[in-house]
Amino acid sequence: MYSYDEFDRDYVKNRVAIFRDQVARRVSGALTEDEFKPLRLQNGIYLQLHAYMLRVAIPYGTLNSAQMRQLAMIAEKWDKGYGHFTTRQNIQYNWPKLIDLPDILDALADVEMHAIQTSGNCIRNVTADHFAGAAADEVEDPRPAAELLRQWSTDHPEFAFLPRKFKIAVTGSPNDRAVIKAHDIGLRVLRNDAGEVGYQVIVGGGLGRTPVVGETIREFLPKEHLLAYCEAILRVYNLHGRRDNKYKARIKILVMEEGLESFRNQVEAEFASLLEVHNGPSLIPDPAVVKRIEDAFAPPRFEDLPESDAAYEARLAEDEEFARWCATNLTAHRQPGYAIASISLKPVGAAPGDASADQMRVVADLAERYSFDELRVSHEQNLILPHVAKRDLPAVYDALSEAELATANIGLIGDIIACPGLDYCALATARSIPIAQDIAQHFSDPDYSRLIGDMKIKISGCINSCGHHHVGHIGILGLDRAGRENYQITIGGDHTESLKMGQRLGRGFDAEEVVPAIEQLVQTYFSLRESEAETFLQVVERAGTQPFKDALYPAKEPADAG
Amino acid sequence: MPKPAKPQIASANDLLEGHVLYLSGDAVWTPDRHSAFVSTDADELGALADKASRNRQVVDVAFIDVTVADDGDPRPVALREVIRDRGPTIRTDLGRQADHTIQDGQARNV
Repeated sequence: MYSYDEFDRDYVKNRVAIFRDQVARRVSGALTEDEFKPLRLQNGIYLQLHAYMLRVAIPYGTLNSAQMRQLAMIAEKWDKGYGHFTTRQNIQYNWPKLIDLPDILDALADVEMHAIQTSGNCIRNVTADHFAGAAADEVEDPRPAAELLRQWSTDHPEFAFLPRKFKIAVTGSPNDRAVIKAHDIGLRVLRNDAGEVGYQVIVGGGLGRTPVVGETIREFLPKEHLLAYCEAILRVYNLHGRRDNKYKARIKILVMEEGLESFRNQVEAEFASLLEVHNGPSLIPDPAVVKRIEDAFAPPRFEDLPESDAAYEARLAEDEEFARWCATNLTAHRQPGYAIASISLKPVGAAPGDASADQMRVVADLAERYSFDELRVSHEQNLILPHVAKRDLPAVYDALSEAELATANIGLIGDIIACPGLDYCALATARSIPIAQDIAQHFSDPDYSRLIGDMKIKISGCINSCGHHHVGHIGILGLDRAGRENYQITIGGDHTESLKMGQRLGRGFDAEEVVPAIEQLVQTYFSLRESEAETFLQVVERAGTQPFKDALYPAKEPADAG
Repeated sequence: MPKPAKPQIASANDLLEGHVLYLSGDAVWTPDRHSAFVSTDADELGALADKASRNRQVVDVAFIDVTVADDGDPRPVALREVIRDRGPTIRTDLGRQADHTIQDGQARNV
């Protein structure tokens, strides 16, 4: 894992000291709220419905056990004993006091963490495939690129006041688990015909009120030009992105208004200029720096193990619950004898993404003992033990069970993404979490949810789409309709490399109508599928949305004229 | 004919702790919504809020629509304000609703 160097450490500690002084000046009255608000936002501190909220960056979703224990300590000492893992691989605390926040940031800095650039119109925390460094389908670990981008973008003086926030995601696999086409810049590590490793660069994707599938601006970018090319994109955006209307200010609007070809020409011209005028090397990272970063993400010292393990196989054969968990929560690892274990933060009845301090400590202990001290946070609001030897899986499962963390629902209908919604968020127009809880409760029978198979339900409590509803197989958008919560349903969204936006089926539903509507969609899927292997999404793609519309909105009987 | 002004109360968040506060009739920011001052006059509420804010630092002052119950209790109209007043509907152990002196009924069924 990447470890701070002296510069990183000093920088983060200094930022805490500066913020401590800013808080003191706000409390003394030397700073007005108008002056202070942008300063607190630059440190990830929002004011939500009930209290302040602190959003902590977890760069590319990677953590070690010491960091997770510190997150647990912060939850207990300064918050309400829990944290919320978000769809951007961050963690949010919902109840910190302003007067405690400098101490919290200091505690984060002690374990090489911070909340810088988790808010504001700047380049936000860079996200990555949560299976990075472990996935069997990976060309190369995307985290060195993400870390390089983190260093380049942190406090970048030219990009501190962009027209709007800017999000970058990186994947190292052809199977996209980082939703790169829904980011301002999406990067995919790939190999060209000559065998060289570089990046496919995608630009202008996004969700929110104007959902757009990102388009490829460069089919292949040599690795050494990553920063220069991103700098060129950001420069064109910074210069031409709209500042007159915040709803039109994201790069996706600029790319749409200019057209991809025109935008690409501007970026390529800027890129060429950057390499020539600035003599190239200023934006080509020092190979020694790159090597230090790559070394930090070198694979752990895996044991030479057989593909499977006798004790593991025996437990699989004799323990149905364990077998069910393995079937849903394990993913193929690149190293024989190992597996990637996903820890669901979606037990029935819980708020998706919430974890108690005790649960965080359990997961930290397991990472330390069984996963080379590594943990991941997924944008799907789950935690990952990326490198578990199969012989250790029974012990890991038993410990997770004891902590109520062994829910076997990854990728199934209960594994729902939900934003905090109106229960916490000042921007929300409807609640998300109770809807997720009701759906999870309704489909809690594991046999039934397995029968439904691959299903991604994603719920947002407002049009800003933090719950990624546009790309859910079933998407649910909560709105305020004349003072009542109302939920629009879309189907056919796809969050993978073949990213698609779902299509709205019709009028919205009251909260209590949502679960019956989802059940109706599931029954329609059952009636249409040609085999159990055909997924819900495949049926929507084959049969279209009309059969689902017909099921949800049956035609009314003609009025009786008599 | 202009519409009659709706009854409103003033609300804000405490600067230091962030929790929700209401403006009482004696120009004090208080966590107790039941003692919030109800007015149909925004200027009156604004002047009172300015006075109260000289003694306690608050942020995000807003006037919110209420209905006044028979016992005089001002109750927020918007669901957002109901949740803001009580706490998250999915965690009734958190927020003001965790104070068992609140008699507003089950938060989940807002």
